[in-house]
Amino acid sequence: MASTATVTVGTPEAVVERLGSAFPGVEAEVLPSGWIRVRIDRERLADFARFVRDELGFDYLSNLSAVDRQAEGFEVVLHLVSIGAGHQMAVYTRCPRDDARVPSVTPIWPTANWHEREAWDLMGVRFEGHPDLRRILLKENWVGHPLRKDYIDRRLPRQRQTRESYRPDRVNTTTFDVGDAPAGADGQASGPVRRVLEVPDAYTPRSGVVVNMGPQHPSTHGVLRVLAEIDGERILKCEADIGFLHRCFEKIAEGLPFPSVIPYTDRTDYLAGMTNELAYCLAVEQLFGIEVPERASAIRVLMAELQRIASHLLWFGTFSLDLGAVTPFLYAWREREKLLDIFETISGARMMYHYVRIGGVRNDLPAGVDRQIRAFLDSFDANLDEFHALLTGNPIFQARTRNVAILSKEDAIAYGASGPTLRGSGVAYDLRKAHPYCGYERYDFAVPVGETGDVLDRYNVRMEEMRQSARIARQALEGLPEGDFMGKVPRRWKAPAADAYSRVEGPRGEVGVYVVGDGQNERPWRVHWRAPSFVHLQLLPVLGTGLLVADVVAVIGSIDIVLGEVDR
Amino acid sequence: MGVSGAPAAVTAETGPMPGIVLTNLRKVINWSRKSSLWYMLFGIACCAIEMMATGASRYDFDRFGMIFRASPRQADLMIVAGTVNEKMADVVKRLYDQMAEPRWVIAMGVCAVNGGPYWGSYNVVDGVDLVVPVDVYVPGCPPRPEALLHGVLKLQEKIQREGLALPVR
Repeated sequence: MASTATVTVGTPEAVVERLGSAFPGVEAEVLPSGWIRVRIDRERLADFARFVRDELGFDYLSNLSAVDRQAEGFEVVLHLVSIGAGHQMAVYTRCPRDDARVPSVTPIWPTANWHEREAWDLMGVRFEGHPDLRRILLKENWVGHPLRKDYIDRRLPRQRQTRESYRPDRVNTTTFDVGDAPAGADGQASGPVRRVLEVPDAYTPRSGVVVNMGPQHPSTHGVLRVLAEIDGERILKCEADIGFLHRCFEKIAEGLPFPSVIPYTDRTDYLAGMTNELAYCLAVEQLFGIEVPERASAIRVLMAELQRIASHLLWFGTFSLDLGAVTPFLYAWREREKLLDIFETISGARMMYHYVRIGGVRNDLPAGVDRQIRAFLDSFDANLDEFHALLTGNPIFQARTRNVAILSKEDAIAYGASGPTLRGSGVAYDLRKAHPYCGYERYDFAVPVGETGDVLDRYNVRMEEMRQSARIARQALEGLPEGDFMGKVPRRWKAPAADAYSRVEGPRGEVGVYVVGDGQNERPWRVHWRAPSFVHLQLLPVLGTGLLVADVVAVIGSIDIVLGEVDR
Repeated sequence: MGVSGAPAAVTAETGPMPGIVLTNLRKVINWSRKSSLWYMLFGIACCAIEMMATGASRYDFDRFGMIFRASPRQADLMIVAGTVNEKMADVVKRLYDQMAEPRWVIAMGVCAVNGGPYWGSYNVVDGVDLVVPVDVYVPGCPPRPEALLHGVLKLQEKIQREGLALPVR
């Protein structure tokens, strides 16, 4: 399972050279941004993936997405990272429309598992050799693949208009009109004019008792369903069922002009709106080649760090609530409300800001808000100490977190963990240091890491991150340069026929946004969201096996998921 | 006193019969129902965070007699806080069926009202009232805690007006 990252190759050019000699005829080049771009045919993809992981040290799969290229078939894009050497590589492979099959890379990077299931679910690309290729976001009996450009919504109007169709005895059934579906388009859309597909639950118990937790459960942080097969109180196997909040963000984004997508990005990870806006705007700015003024970058850093504190405060409150401590929740919310007041002063909203815009930010910092921010930061260190006094030393808390659900360094990388979850396992990888954006290289801050990778380490990393974020926020506020808050942006958003991928260190981990332009429209051809929570949730079966039932709650809390981001 | 046109309530100290309160059954039942609306701890999306904020220190749901229950069997009120999609609709309906009468529903946020920003997309149910009956709609994306509190007050007014017989839903 573990991919040992001992091999590193000096420069991106050396990587390209090695690729050229190992795979004759492969198109590989180094882009000005430092990314390596590789096009490879699908027959050699599996060998290629094994080679770049073992020989070139690309041990981390950041993202996998599929793009509908219409007549030219489907394009599968892999974004790979070498954590040791810091190289980044985008790998493109194509498959024809009538034979949408690509070899799976799950055996090489286990984190690809859910990425590939998502691509199968929404785009209908079959990954050969995938251990468990079934739908992940939509219902099991869904017909068609919605992100294909020729997808037609075939839900019967009646179902959307009456209550009676949601009868409890028909749970897990959806009625579709499949009458004139193109036969065999994806191997299943043919049959009688109307049919109700009855698909049994994919999870069948092996021996023990299966306990169902969620989607309505106070400790799942939203609409997550966990199926746990138990023997007594010990978990033999557990699995996460997601998709209860899938609300078609990527499809909607394809129908909107570039700037109009920003409000939707707020709503993916609704606890970190500023970070999401930033990630999307960075990707679009990269696509269009837009320069951002210094002042706007500094404001963005300030907002991103305050957002990280706000998000971690909410995590601290709910995590302690999960473990049975009610008081810290109220203290954390007291501080978070102060931050929401600051955000409201700046952007006018408490949660959905629409503040970071392509090319800059919407408005300058209003007069007097710097005093408000300073007042918050001045008292924040003392508040953190108060939080530690409330919870950290508590023997019950210690007993429930220390040495529980240990995630090894190797597994963390192989499963694509990022952010505090990765750093809790002792990997000092922070995108703000490794690939700085918005001028993060100018700020002085430390990257806290854990030692054993248990729940307590992930907790400690987040707590310390809040302190560091406050430091960065203060530096950004003190050193705010004069100048414009908005750069030059085109009047018409005619997209170039290119793509861009931005990586931002969000509160939960690496937020990646993949934006594709088609060369003629003012709308993105494809937007793909690499959500850290989505990737982290794959860890649940890995970490949960062998634990007690009550520990699952601690695990879910310690990887800090937001279901809006998991399902998008 | 009390033969015709019974007053809403006569204070125990000043009335003609000290220690006795006169009212009618409908009012006293509705008053007790509206004053202890236990809501189900059930959040779907972004609005759930604002619902938590409403329950937390600053806005404090408890002063309306509202405390959360984790089980639908013990809850009087379901606050649908977030986007309901095709996969979730069955669950929402099932949770509603598990609640005991009398029960009320608040649709919190434009997604629950009519699909909101996600209206018409392939997986989203355009309003939770297609799945369960809704008593009060609270628009906003997400509604501020004050808006949710206003919605709760509106629901209390509505409950106070209800008859003795259980409404057929």
